[in-house]
Amino acid sequence: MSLRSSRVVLGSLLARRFQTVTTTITVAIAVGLLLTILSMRDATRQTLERGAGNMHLVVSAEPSPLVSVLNSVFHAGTPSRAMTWLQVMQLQRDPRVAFALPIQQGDSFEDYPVTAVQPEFFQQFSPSAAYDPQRDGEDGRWRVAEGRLIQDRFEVVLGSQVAKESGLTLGDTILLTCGLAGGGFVHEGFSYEVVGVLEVSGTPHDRVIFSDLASGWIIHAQDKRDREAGGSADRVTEDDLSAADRLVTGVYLRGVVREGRQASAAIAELASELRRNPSITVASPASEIEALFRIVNRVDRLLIAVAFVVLVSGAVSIMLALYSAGQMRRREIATFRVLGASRGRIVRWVLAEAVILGAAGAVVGVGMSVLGGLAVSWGLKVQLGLVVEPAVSLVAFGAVGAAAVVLAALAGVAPAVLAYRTPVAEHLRPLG
Amino acid sequence: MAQALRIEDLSFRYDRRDVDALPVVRIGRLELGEGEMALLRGRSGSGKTTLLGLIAGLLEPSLGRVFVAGEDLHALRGAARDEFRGRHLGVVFQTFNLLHGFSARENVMAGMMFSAIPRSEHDARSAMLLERLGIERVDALPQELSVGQQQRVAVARAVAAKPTLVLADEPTASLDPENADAAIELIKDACAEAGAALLCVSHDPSAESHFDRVEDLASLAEPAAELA
Repeated sequence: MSLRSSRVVLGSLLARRFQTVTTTITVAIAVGLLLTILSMRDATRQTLERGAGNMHLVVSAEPSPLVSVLNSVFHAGTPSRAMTWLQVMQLQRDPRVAFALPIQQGDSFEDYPVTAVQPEFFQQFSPSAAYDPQRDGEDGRWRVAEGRLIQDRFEVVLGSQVAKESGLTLGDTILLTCGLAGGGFVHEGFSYEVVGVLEVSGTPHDRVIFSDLASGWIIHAQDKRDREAGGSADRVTEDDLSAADRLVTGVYLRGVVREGRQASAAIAELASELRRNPSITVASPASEIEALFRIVNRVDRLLIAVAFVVLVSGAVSIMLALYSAGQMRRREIATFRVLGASRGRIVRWVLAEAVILGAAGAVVGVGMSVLGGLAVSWGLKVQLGLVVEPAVSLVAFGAVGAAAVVLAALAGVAPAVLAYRTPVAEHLRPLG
Repeated sequence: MAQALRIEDLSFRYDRRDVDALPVVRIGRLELGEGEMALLRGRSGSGKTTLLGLIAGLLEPSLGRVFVAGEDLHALRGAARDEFRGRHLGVVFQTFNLLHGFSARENVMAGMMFSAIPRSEHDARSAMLLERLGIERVDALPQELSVGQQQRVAVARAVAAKPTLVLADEPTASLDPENADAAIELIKDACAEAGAALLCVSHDPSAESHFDRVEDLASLAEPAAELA
């Protein structure tokens, strides 16, 4: 064993633990903030773009296109208005429409949103934007990880995340609750059986329970009849449903496109024509996501600028920490010089301390960004109902980490110069 | 006898441009043989510590040359001089200047850090030196040791690299007379064991009895005055 430069450098950092820890934390916060913003921005965009799948338009009775997309596609909230079945059929009959798939939202099970659909939903709509139901057939459709898709009334299939988190398994029965937030009344008397679990799609639909649309109409009609009767009315069957009971909250619509194309001018025309009807809202998920990101990007840039400022302030705190330590350690530096340490070696020690502080901050910051990503992801899920898996690219890790280390090294230059210029004889004189 | 130290016509002024100012240090000639031990006496403020700074290559002389182990120290520049100092010079400071974040053993190893002694031998040599100098708590930090123990650690560090020359700056200044005598003998013994020459500077007259050779700093100045 011998005394090595690494011991001298680490010993110096450990000798002023508090300063070392606070400086590291300052750098870590900046790195963590930057990485969290970068990772969540990319992940959110990817998630939102994936969620729209192969639909071109969302038609609903919501007050605005953005709300329509957030509720219908991303299951962010309870739709406030409904469309009639007649409106759905009009859309389905339009020759420019490849599919018009009705959905009914507003119920939930243990905070997981329930979306009632018809069996065609799983054949026509796909989380993959490139999926063309006429061309691609089975390829690109929803895949079942366990069990089967809905075939009958009062059956549900679980999104992959629901199956993973809720503990529900095939054969379990559940009662649905009215509303997405807790506290709604339970649709008693109509239990649904879990018949299948979907494979992971990487979209917000993974945290959805899909139920049968007609069953949804029945349970809501029963509630309505019970309220009107002031108690328990006769049990409603499918035959009892009136036009007023057959309501939907949205329609996923795909226009007819030429083979190999994802869109056509006809879809814009169709959307424009549909928008003339004041009772419905026609939204293009792609456009709304783009508009949303234009707003978010402004905040994003501001946050990134703030993170850079924090990073620079972290570098300044490294400089101040090393500079003040250098002032206090001039006698120690002078002693090492007498023992044979060259000026260059002293400079390398100080720069090594700066780099270690920067690297430690970067490592802790990466950990913070993982936690930050999870926190933001949880916040998006709770507040907006969006499921965003934080994913940071290695390039971002490397770039931000390298930036932190380079800035730290630059911050070490002034303290290193101070150490370099330490007048040895002067600092070895007896004190006092 | 080979020389550990030779000083020729050395003078030093803090302000080199002020040629009218009297030099702080003026020495015409001073030689110290290999393993030789001498005391250089001088009153307080006579430039003793400055002289040691010049001999250690920490200060640049205004005139003259300093040879350590036959090498013109001030002809060496930058890292080469630092490396030479690490290999050939040991210093015992008046206030020890131990490294406070490092244990007694590490302080001694610091004395070998820039020497020619192989790294693999540092641990054993530091343990041996500390044992011989009576330091049992080798992992204690300097502030956990008594003043006497700190001085012994400082002595061990000064001789650890097997230097050609050890410079001791007022080694008895902070000690009572009894401990002062013991301290000088300790330094001499350690230097003798390491084969190092010793130049001890002190204003303490009681230190003179420990040395066969005693030089007076003021008397060494005359030839330099002639040069100036």
